[in-house]
Amino acid sequence: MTEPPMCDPVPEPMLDEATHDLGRELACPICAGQSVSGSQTPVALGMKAIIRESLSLGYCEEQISDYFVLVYGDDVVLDPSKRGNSALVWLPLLAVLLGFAGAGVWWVRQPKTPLETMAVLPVSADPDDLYQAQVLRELDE
Amino acid sequence: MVSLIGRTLVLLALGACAAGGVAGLVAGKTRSRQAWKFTIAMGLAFAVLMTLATGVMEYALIVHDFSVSYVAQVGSLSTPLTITIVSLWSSLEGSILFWGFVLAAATGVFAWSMRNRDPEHGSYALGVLLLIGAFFTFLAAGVANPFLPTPGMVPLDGPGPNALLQNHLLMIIHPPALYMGYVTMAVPFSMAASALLAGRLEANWMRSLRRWTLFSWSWLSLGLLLGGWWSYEVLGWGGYWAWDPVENAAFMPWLTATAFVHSSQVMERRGQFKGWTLTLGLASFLLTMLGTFMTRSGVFNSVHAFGEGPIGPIFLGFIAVCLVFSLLLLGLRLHHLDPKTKMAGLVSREAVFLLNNLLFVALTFTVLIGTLYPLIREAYDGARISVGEPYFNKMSLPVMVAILFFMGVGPALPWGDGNLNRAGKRLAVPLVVSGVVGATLFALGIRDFWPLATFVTAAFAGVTSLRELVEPAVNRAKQKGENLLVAWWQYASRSRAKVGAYTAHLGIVALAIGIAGSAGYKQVMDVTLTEGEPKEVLGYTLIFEGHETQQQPHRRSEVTWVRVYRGDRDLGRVDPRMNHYDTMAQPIGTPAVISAGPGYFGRLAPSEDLYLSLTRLSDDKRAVSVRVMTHPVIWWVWIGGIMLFGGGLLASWPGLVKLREKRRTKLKQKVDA
Amino acid sequence: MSGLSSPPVEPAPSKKGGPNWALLIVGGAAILGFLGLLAVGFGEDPEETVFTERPAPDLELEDLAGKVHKLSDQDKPVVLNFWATWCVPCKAEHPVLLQNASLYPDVQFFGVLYGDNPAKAQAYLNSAGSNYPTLMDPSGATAAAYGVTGVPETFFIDADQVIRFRHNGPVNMNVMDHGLKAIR
Repeated sequence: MTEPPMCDPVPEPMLDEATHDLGRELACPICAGQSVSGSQTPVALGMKAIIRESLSLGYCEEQISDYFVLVYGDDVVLDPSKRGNSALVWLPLLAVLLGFAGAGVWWVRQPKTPLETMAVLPVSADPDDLYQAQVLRELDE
Repeated sequence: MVSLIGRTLVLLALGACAAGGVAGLVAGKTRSRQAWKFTIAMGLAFAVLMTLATGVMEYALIVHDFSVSYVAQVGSLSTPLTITIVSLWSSLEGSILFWGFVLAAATGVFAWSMRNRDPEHGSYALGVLLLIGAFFTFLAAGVANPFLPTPGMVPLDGPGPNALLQNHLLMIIHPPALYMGYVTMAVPFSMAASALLAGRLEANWMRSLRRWTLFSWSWLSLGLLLGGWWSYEVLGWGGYWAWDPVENAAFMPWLTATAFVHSSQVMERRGQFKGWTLTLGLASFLLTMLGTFMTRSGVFNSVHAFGEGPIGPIFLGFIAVCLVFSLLLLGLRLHHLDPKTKMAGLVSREAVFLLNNLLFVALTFTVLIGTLYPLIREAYDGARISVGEPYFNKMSLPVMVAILFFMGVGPALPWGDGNLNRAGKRLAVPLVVSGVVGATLFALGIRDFWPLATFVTAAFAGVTSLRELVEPAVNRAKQKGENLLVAWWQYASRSRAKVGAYTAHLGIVALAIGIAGSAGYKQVMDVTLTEGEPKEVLGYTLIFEGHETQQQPHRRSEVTWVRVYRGDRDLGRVDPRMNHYDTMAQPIGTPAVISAGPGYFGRLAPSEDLYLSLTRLSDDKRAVSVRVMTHPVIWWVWIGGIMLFGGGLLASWPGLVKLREKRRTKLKQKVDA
Repeated sequence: MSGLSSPPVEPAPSKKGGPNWALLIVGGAAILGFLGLLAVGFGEDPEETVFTERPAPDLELEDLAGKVHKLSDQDKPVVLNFWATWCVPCKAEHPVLLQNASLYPDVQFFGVLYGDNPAKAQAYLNSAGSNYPTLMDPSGATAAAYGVTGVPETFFIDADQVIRFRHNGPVNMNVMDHGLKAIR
């Protein structure tokens, strides 16, 4: 690590879980898309050891992630939206908003069917079903 | 000789596709009867030729004819017969041939089913379908030709297929199932295109379109399920879904196809959402093509990556053509289709369908962005990043729970304008039940937000869907005084589509429960077991009983025997193992999985899986390091997937059309008389 | 009767409308962008890694004889070679390392055992010869700190403890020359 630890050390009983949690956010560099927590390769085990020790010494998760980025490259972080790359979040969000807005505009602009002229169908009646029922009644007679 | 026959067959298939494709488009435009018949003939010829070609390749593989380049690439004298048959799709060229085969079979069935129907729509659709076929036969005849003769000396033996293929039975059925879904998306694409080309879209065509999509969708669901199951049973990391680019490639068309089968119902009943529905129909196939490109071009480094070559740019070109074609169709032809009818209000099934459609597309777009983002960043500033599970889970979870919720609301609302009061009454029971479920789970200690939210929403949707499956039968039994089972059978056999649909919905509910339970509450522990010494792990007692080395022609397996107890009950002996293949440097483990939990309904519904993955065997073979995991309710994931498959197939089956039409005409005659 | 069974009557169309130019333009732009992205992405090789010099992570490890060595205590340039007995190319490069270690006494050579058994390593070195210490990294933390992804991998570290060069795969005389030049 390049800087001193900046967070509180993680106490012993919570260390396993904290290691596992951070391990899920980092990729095992030689595996195909597996996280450090999910892999048993020597590299992943080594990384887990570093994570564990660093957490117990009080290094923040960002510091540990930064360190591994230095060592293994940017692609070791599995959720880049947590380190910049906010486009990953606002692009979909924007698209969703536009989609809903567009649909809303379209919906509002549609001429509505006045209730009186619509044949009142019983709730949960499938027109086909209703028809089928009719057919069956006729045929059964 | 074999090589020559194979190459000739593929070339003939290419010819049939090219001729038929052009003829189809011409027939559609000119309404020429002859051109139409010719197109059908070419469709059937395509099917026959590709079947023969695939048969020839299988023959070459089975007899180990190493003079054929593909056999030299993936064949081996020491590979068991089943694996040899299956190695047809183990590598690029063979899988392209297989793609072509499935496409050809679908084209043949489609052509046959069209022979007595609407020639205008049929010829356009068959024409487009055959042109797609032309692309794949072009690949199989040229760049990705598996029938090329082996250059140089014919070897006496080969390296055998990818070791991963030889590890498990599931690998034998996962690719064909996926291909059946993936490849056959070309049919709905062609049908949607034909509607736009012809400039009209009637109820019959809409219905066929939906049925074909349901067929593809069902197989795609099965393929995804099997892929997840294989990943879980074979790869040893304990999961079934990793948001791998290739997994996403199959998931995205599934999402758009699901949206499609719903909006197309609005299209059929109300004549609305035509543009949107057709766009979804076109998009499903386009996403399929994108997915094939991603997995074959080497753009992504993933579990499935088959390596590079000239195939990438060619695929990209084809995708470009398809995209432009689709865009032109939508932009220039959509306005020819019948104008919309009036729209129903907010309290209607249409509204809920629209809402869920938007959510599905939102999810598709999110997955697409996440999958393509590494490319975007790299193009922008050269940075190399990866987007993995944490991102996808974070972004998709809320959307999926929302979809689940509205899946529960939909059936309670009528088609057309509904009454808010009535809707409230319909929803009362499901809401109360889900509330009770939530409170119970909370009291039992399940308090993490997302799992709890999922369970509650699943209960809500489950009650609505179950009610739709049962209530009509109950009503009928009351009306006719029939026995409930008889009433249900009578109802079900006349409403196959509905039964299929709600079975699939229940499948989604089961999936949701399984995913939330296994992801939210799984436990992991790495332990070392010494031979003969029992060890308590995660509620089970494990004893390492011994070790054995099994030598097979293609691999050497280090097998460890572990006996599992839960309390006093002996659950049996399992064998997590490590397989060393001659052709691979890294060994591949096979985990041992047993459905071990106390179970509900006796052992019928196991409440959790115990999962053992071999990490390391000590040199003296007397101690073994094992990763032990428990996966609660993961069984529901597999059941859910199978229900999707079964429900979808049931809903897609056309058998009832003729029967309905006969009855309709009879009734019409009666009414008119 | 029949009113219940047929779909609602469609009103007479007011006007058919023309091609959807907005869709065509926006869609066209989106398609171009999308294809461009895929084309660029396709052109890149996903396997390239870029090496940048950085300070060498300190290490404090025991060697096979039990003596502890610390990187920051070294006042000479250091060559750090990660290897294992199960790694065939490691055995192939071993003589090259031995030779260079004796040729350049002003450089400290260290071997670091990677995912392996010390007894096996000792047995191998007894037969193959060894003229520099082999360190043990049981947890793999040192390998991970250095960014090792497989063996053999060799790091060339100068006297100021900065990694000047790293090589994946077995070393040969050329690689050794290049690396040693960077750190001496």
